[in-house]
Amino acid sequence: MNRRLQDLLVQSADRAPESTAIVFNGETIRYAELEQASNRLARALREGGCVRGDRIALLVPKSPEALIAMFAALKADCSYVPLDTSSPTARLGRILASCEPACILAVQSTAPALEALKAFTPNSWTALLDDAPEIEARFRRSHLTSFCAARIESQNQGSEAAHILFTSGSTGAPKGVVITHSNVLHFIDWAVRYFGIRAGDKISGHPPLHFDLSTFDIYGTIAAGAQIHLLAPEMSLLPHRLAEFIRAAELTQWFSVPSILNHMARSGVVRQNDFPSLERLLWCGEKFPTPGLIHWMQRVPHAKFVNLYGPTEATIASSYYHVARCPESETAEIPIGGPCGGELLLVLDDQLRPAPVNEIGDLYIGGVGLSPGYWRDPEKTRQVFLKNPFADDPFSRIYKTGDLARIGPDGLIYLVGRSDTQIKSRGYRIELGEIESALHGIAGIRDAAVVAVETGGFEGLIICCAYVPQPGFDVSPKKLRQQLARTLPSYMIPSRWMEFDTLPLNGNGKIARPVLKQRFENETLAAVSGGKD
Amino acid sequence: MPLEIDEYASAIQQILSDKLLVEVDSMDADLLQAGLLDSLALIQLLVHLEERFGVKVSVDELEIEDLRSIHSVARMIARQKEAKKAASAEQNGVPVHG
Repeated sequence: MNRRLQDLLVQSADRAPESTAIVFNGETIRYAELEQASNRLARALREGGCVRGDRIALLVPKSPEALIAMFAALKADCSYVPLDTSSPTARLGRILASCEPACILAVQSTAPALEALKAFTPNSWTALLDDAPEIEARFRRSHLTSFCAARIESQNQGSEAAHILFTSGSTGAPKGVVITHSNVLHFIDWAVRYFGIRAGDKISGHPPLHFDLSTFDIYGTIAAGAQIHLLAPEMSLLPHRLAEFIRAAELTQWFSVPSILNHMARSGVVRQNDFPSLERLLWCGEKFPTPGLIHWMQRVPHAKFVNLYGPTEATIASSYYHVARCPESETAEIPIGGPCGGELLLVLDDQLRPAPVNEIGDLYIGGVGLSPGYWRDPEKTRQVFLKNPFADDPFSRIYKTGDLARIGPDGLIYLVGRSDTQIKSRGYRIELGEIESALHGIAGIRDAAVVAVETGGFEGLIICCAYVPQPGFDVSPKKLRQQLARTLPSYMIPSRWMEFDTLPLNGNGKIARPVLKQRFENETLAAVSGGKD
Repeated sequence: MPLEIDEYASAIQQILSDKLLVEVDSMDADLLQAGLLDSLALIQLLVHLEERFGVKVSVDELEIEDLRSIHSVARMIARQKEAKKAASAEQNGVPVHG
């Protein structure tokens, strides 16, 4: 059967049109409204000129309108590209130049960036999801009521792209991961079954919409006919507000990156037996430090705690581990567990042979979640999506995650680290190479290197920059920061800086990153033990 | 009072620039939407505000709107200073009988 993501909405809206689908800032959207609004917008997109296979860029902050636009794009046989609205224009421009959307959907708050962005994608037209004045648009919200709200037939297939998610790229340009309807549906089918998601559920919508975690929140909710409660991104600054949100909305499922959960634990905002409605607490995207996990499990003993793992290239999550009992020790290692339904996880050596138990190897993923590859980048795709050496099917592939792992005697998989310079900082996936590439583009910089250092604080890894100014140039951390902010999102900008005459090199003449790391770690220790910053 | 707030606002702009290395052009620029203030920067900011203004602000007293712009942070500082003054006046005003 050919299923598409939009079919989840059509079914749930048929079943319970009056149920609440989305809650945001006191506003509620019913299933019938979501269905009808997305039908109207899909027709407007088609009339605007969108055809099957086109991309639609969403320059829209997290909101019910953004979700309506996602379903509308899919119903119009297109895929969507959710953009990080807090990213600088230069970076968004590179993404748009790469994906060449037929249409950019914007709202009043993001419209000022449109002028500059259109230079990167001259053939794209724009439309507005509100009635922002003085912005040129092919259509705007007030026009949408003239379009028919009845069900719209789509031609797209499950094997076609549903969205393209851009992540940090090591060579400086963000890379687009193409995700199909089937990729998402396979995970959603498994997750709805495994977690028992049902119509009465109240599900958090915490991650930004350009993170693939958010696709589980959205499509998991809609598949089950449940409610999604969207959180404004700035709420993460104030942990006590997050806790109040969970209580007030009576959420039954919370899903976020661990840094948020850890931040809440360290701020002491979780009370004993807090969040009585909460049935499941899920995290993904990085390691949840065990002391933080223990803090949560002791205070919310009625919830089920599940660690999900998986890169964007393998869609939302590929493995899971249910932490059935509170760890006894703060140093206990939490595995990423075993494969979700239809997924395959392999720990292999250099020759692609299975690594023996407890031997560290490269972690590969195969199965139903694998992306067809990177958008318009067959070379990068070939480098990491390999033929599955264990399958007879010549089309079976495995993806090299870049994560190092081992299989424990218990048969579960444990993450060990990375084989490259990709890091996770506050849940963001960052290629340090992208930061270095931006630094090398700044006049007055002769050399620069970026390393990530563990602080032991709640912020986890922090990004540190070592730089060598060119003689005669006045370079300061403040100026560098300003320059980088023009091309990089704020979460990629280093927070520690050190000037060097020359960068330390190792025996092979390469930059000695461990030495740099040590220098920054020593500096951090000095600051913690009362030294000056 | 408005004069005081402008004074606080300039000082906050200076702290952001000198200590957090973040340049904010306008006192009403949205710090949150641009992602200029993350949880780490917020903690640093509160430490520097305490040093500069002598008021201890804890994260759990804050509302999102207190952090929206330099001006809203300045208004929050003014409020905290008022509260501190009132509290100490009350303390001093309590008659002490032997």
